[in-house]
Amino acid sequence: MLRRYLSREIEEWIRGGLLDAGQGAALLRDHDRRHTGLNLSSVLAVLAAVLFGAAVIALVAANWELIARPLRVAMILVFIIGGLSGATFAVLRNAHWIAEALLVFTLLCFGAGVALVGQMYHLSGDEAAFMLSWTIGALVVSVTYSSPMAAISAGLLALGYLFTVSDGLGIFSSWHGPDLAGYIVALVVTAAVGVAAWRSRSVMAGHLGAVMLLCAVVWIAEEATELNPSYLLAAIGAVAFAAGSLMPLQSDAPFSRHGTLSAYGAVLLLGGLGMVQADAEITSLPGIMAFAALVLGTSVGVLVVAGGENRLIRRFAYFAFSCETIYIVGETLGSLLGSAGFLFFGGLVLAAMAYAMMRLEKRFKKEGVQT
Amino acid sequence: MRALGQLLRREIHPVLALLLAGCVLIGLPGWMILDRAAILRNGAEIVFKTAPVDPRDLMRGDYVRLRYEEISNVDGSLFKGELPAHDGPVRLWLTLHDGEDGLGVVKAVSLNTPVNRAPGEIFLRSNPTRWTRSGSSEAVAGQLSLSFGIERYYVPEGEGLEIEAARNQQRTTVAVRISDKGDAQIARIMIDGKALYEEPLY
Repeated sequence: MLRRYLSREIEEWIRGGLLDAGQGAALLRDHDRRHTGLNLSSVLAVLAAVLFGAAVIALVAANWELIARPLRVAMILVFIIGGLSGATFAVLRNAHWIAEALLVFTLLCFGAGVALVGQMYHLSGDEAAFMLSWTIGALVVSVTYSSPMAAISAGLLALGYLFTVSDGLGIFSSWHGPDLAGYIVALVVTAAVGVAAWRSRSVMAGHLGAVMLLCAVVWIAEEATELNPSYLLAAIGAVAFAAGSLMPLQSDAPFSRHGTLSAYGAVLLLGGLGMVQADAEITSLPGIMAFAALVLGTSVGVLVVAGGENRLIRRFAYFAFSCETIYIVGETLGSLLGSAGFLFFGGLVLAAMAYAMMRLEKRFKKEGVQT
Repeated sequence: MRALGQLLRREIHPVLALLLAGCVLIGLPGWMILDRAAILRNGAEIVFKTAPVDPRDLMRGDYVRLRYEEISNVDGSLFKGELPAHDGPVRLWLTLHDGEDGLGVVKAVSLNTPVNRAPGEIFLRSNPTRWTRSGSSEAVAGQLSLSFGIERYYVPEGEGLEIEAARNQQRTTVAVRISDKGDAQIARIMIDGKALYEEPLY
């Protein structure tokens, strides 16, 4: 995706005389040399590993009596040791994608092994413990091998664990009651996913860790406090956005200005405000207008502060702005006018919005040229 | 901050990684197996009447779901002693003994670990259950819905039917072994008192 974009841009630069043809090719070659990451063969290797692992899981699930239970356990253990040894060998030989594929296979076999124990001894009601064991296995593999695929697996499994242990973050269950040990385990697992992501330099695992942290916070807020999670998310978003976009940054700060932290902040702030609005059931017209003004103002504010630098923030702010506008148009005009009038006014409002956004875009472009 | 970041990123030698990860990935299931086998070997045995139904688990295959007439729903009036101080997940203890027909009977339910074991009594600990205080009443009203981690019996693919058929005539019983710590482990599933599957230790 990025390579296609880059080669198109380079072609454009060559045509515009900004680059020589030879230079363009050299730049692309350099890009290819440094980003060999996700080539087809490595993707296929990981997919093959997933299929082999799934086959092992299916074999366990069949509970086939022809293979005696100790033999099944031994088989799984041999797979785990074989997978780990192979991965070690591959790392020593610098074949990192083979190592990644073997580690994914090992982790699937480990999950099958834990499931097999549950099957052998007819355990029930242990879904959370099962997910936790599997997550711990993935975390250990990721941390010891600095493996990005294992870190991503650990993030996904950790999310699975969190949803199992919290009964869907406590939002869908009628049950309210503090479970201190559960919260501590969830937060420790979240921190471990963060460490695994950091060690393996996996951006995807980092995002999974961030999502896990937010989910854990929502769960704890929902169950253990009187706080409304929507307010909390909006507040976290405001703080994150302020930290990412407004605070003076030190030179060795771990995040960049208007970067990922700001993007998380913007999405949480606007999303949280939307949820508050949906929750609050404001009925008076002035109340609705005041809240809508807050949301619109916030999205414009986010846009002005960070929209020029960060495409994701810009798009999300537009999206929030549009949703909110359509919402107030629906709430206010729909009741006063017939449907034809409503559609007409809707069109007018959208046209006005498009005009306003064009002006904003132009402003960003001008600023871009000046700097 | 930066130093900590670099420290966290220090690579482990692959062979050391193999040893560490291998210990955990082998040790965890191994420990679970030994733990369970110990209950089967040393636990005290008690028999319950049960009623199974037949669903499927993605990772572990076919199983029959077991409900125990005596212990899955326990009369709140059997509750003895101190009540939980707060709403929240609690693990309750059942005091069991053999009834006249050889099946297990609940004698008492309590929050605290029972002491002074009378001859023939077995203590069984429930999984965390949802405890909410109903109003201001100090007594436990109604039924307590409990589980013990013995509510599933995994069978080879497609073989749940025999147990299912016997369920309809209320002929299925399950022998459960219970460790000193109150953990339960299915030992045998029986139809008309005859073992259908005997569980080997490993």
